[in-house]
Amino acid sequence: MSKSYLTASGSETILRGVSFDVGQSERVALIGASGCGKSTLLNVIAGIDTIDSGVVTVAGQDLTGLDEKQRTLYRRRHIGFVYQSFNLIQTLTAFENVQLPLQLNRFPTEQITDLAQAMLERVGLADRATAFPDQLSGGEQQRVAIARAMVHSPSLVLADEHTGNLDAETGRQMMDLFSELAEQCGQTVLMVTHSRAVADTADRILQIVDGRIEHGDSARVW
Amino acid sequence: MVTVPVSGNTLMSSALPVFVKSSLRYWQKHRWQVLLMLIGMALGVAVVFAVEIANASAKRAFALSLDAVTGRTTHQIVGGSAGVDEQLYTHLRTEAGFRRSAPIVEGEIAIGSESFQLLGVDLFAEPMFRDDSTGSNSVAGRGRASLQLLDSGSALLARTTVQRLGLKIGDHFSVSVAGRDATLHLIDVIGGSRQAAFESLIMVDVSTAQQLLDRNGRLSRIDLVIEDPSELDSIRGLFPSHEIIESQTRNASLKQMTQAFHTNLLAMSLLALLVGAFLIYNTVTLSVLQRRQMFGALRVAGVTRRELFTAILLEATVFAVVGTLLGLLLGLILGNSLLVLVTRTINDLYFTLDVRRIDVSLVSVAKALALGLGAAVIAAVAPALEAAGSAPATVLQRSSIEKQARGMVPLLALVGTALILCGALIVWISSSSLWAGFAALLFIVVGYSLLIPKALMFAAGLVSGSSGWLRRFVGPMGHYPVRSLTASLSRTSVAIAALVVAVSATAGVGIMINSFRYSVIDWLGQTLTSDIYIRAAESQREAIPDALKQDIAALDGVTGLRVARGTEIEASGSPVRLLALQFSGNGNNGFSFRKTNGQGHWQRFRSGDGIFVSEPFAWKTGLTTGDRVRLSTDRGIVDFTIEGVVTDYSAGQGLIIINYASYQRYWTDNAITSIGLQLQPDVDIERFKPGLRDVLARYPMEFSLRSNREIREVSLDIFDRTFAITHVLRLLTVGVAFVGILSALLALALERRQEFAVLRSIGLTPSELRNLLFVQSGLMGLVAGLLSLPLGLVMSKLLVSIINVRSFGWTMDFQVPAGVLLQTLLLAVAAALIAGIYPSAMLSRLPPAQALRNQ
Repeated sequence: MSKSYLTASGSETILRGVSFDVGQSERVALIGASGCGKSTLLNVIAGIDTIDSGVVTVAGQDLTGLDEKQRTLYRRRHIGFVYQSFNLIQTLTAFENVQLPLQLNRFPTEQITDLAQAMLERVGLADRATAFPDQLSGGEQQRVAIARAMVHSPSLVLADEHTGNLDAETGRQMMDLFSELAEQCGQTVLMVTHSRAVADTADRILQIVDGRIEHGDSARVW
Repeated sequence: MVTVPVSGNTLMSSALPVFVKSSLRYWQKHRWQVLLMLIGMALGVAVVFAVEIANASAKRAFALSLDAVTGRTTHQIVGGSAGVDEQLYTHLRTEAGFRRSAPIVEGEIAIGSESFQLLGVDLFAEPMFRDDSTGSNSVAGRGRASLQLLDSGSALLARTTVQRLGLKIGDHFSVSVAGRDATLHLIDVIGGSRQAAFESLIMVDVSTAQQLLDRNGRLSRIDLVIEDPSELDSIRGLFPSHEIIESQTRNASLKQMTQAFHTNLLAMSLLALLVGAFLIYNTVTLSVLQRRQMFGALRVAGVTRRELFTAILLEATVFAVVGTLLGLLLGLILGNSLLVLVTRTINDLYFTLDVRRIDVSLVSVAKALALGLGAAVIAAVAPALEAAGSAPATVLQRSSIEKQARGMVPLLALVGTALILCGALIVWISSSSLWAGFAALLFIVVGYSLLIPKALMFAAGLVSGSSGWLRRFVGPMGHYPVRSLTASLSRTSVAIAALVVAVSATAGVGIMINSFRYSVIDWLGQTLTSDIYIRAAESQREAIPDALKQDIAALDGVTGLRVARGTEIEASGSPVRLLALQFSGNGNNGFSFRKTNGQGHWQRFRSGDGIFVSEPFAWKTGLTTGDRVRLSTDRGIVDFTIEGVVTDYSAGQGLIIINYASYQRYWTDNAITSIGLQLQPDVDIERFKPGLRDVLARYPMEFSLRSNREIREVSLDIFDRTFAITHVLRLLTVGVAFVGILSALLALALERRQEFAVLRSIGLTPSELRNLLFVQSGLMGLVAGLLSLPLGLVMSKLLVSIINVRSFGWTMDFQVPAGVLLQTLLLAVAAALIAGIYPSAMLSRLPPAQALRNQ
């Protein structure tokens, strides 16, 4: 796939013929220097952004032929997204944030409550269910974000530097939790990271250099 | 040794350019915000300025005309309804030798659809009274040309009037007096610097005026210049049966007549400015919120609180200057349209006034500037204080202002409650002051708007709080719009408050007009006891012949006749309408009494010395039942006792009702201005009319014929016309509030762009997001609509029971139709939904990747 952006100084190519496959339940880390196109790649796979040329197929579905609404519905069903800056809805409680994907996927009401409750228990925040995001610590907010990303059992969980805003110890705990949940649910994970420790938890590491996947020794980026 | 400069002034000079540069870039990026703020501010100022200049123009034109007509006159001899016999004038000048006197005959006249005041003067007496009455063509100056005025049918008009009507000297032009057509000859124009004073006058010789008005041998009054008080005593001796009034007192009371009307308009326009001030507050708050990082950085860098406060206030002042200047321009255009409505209402309610030109005085401009700038700066003080008052670290925090806002809610509620109580106390303490009534209204409106954040939080708690029962039925997306309202309380509450004030004013005024209309319909139903009314021109001194009355009575289907004589007299120093009515049978004869002078009031009324007065008359004069009113009759000055105060909505200047037999006894006037015909119930009025017209055609007099139904329709048309200006002001106020809510919604939408992008990234479709935002807008409208209802009801009660009574003396039944309440609710929701269309459409189209990339 290829992707360019129009900037003030002209067209800037972010992804140049990127091509790779990720197997089911596989955990893949995407590494690369800042601005190399990692987040763009995640956005394209999530259907948030589109590509200029190429094909993106997720869970047997070709995204390139989908319109905006179809991509949204695809994302709703198949994707869970964890961001570096948590991106929780500030006006909803932790419990309500976790309920959101279930609500959007039209789960039955009782199931929404049960699943959200169970997910909060799994991330260790059952007692903080009624707290609003600004009443939670960074680590707690990221736990809620992980719970929200995984509660509806998406086919693919995307994580964009999800430990980047946390201290080393909390980041490690978060990574353990993230890996554990993904493994338990058999979810495919594609994570962007600058952390070697995080990348090392993946089954495979892909490095992006100048908008291309570079297959080789990943160690040189650190 | 190192010296560190710590002076605020030094820092200000270094911080200001950074602030200005940063502000300019910020506003460049947020052009729509600037535009909406300027529109809101300009609209608010425009409404105030337009009303101010329309009011001032009408008042000034009237005052100029009044002063021009009065000239150097110090006193006036006035007669009864028939005026003064011209023989008395001759007697005064010749036998008594009092030369500083001038005869005046006045009346209403029209050229096409334009109304003018006809002023009949004595050319030879004039120079002593009115220098400019013949302007550039004064008697002394133009001699022969002015002498032409003595010719029957000759007239003078102001040069500007002549130009506007496309006339030229020597032209003959048609006029209409009391339904009769006549032709006048323009012999010259009134020029000079004071010609504006004569724009609504047609000046003719006394005899021409007498012919036109059908008042042969009668004068409206005799003007006097009294230099020595002893002269006054001797003239009083000569005219024992006439009232001699001081000109300035009469002019002052004439000018005062419309004061309440002007005050009401001004108060309504100030409401629009208040709503505009909410809008300014909202925009400045938002701009402060959006630039909190910059302010935080400046504070960290060492900019003091005072410097930051001054800079924000200066910025608001710059916008206020631009918005106010735009408002002045817009107000100038709007003022021209309002002037037409103001003049029409004055004509309907008070007296003939034709104002064509908007008159913009420096005072009006200064008032609007002061109000516009004042409102803007006051509105900007709170957000500027908020930004400057925070510690550098908290300025950087996103939620600090919202936390402060939430913390302020109980205090605001307390102050709001105190203001409402103050308003109630003012109403309770003051008994007659109109300004006290408006002050109470303002206290209540402002107090209520301070309660809105609390009410909003309470309502949100009901819907989505942990104790809210609705929570069980609505999922998180259902909570989202509700939570968003309270999460951005500092902005949503102000936007909702602006909408509440505007919409409740609409409801309040709507209920008041409805109550008024209902009362007028009810009053017309009671008062119009006859089926058909025949009217003769009021200026007619000729009595309707008895033969006519007999002919009408002989018509098939006629069961009774009721004659009346309507005219204008002077009472308590100002013109009052006098209605002499013939009564039959028992009962109240169509009167609705507000107060009676004990038992037997009807007997005393019929016996001769008793009169009924209208509520406005009683209110303006401070008189009540049992009090005596001194009236100048043709048989001298007579004291009449007020036997009842009756409901009347026909005469803004006040009405005195007298038994027709008593009128004939005291006034040498047998004329009848109307005959009411009572018909058998089975008579078809439309079929009856042709026969009646045939009878009337046999008599050489001018008559108009109207059925009971037609009079009601015409009366209600006039009523609706009178309130046209009120409707315009209501719409403008809602317009300002609409801009306010649009601005708030756009701001909220843009501020939450990233949050919406997250929602989109987890699977919310564009249409779902659009609906979500639309629901949020509708919710704001619904909350505003619901909160408007109590305030609207309180406002309407104040308008009906306090403001209207204190302004005009009118009391009315308080009617709250469900339709008006429903309209209020719909108006608020519709305004918010329409305002929400653009922000929700814009955000739903925004690619989430872009917003997420900008994190």
